[in-house]
Amino acid sequence: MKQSLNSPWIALVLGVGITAALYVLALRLVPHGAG
Amino acid sequence: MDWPAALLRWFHELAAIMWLGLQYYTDLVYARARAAAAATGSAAILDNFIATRLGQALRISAIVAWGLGCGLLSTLSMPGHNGFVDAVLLRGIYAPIGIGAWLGTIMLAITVGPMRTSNVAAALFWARINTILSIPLLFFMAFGYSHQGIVGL
Repeated sequence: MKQSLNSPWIALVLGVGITAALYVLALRLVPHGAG
Repeated sequence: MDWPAALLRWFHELAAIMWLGLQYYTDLVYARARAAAAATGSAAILDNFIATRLGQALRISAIVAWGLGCGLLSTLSMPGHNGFVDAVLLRGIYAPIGIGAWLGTIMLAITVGPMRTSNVAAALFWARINTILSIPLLFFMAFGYSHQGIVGL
């Protein structure tokens, strides 16, 4: 169990989750229509 | 030809790839090798011969990548907008690359801070944290400024 929690796959899932949250934040910060 | 911007981008990417390559090696290879070596009572050999050099290379590449990144941000300036300042303050179209810059700054702080310890197990914990942070970091480095349209920013 401990080994599975230490899996790099968990890190990947967490990293993608953080990315999604920050992407939503970025969408709010960038002026509409820019980019 | 904008040589300063080109050189900054070239060597920022070189140092950043070196940093993250060493970072993933630390988390995905060294940590596992050390756990296997510890089972045979020989983790100290790895720590003595590799950990110190690995930490040094991580810190040097991280500092160079971060410093050149700061310079690179300033080359993104436009009339009325300083790229570095607007990115740090998460202003307008500079906000996404600013998020990437802040992630890189946090990762640098971890690399030169808590990862720099004689407690290798603690350093490896922080290496895992940096692996997690590297995933959004790369997203915002790739799409934060030059290719915003690809991801709808």
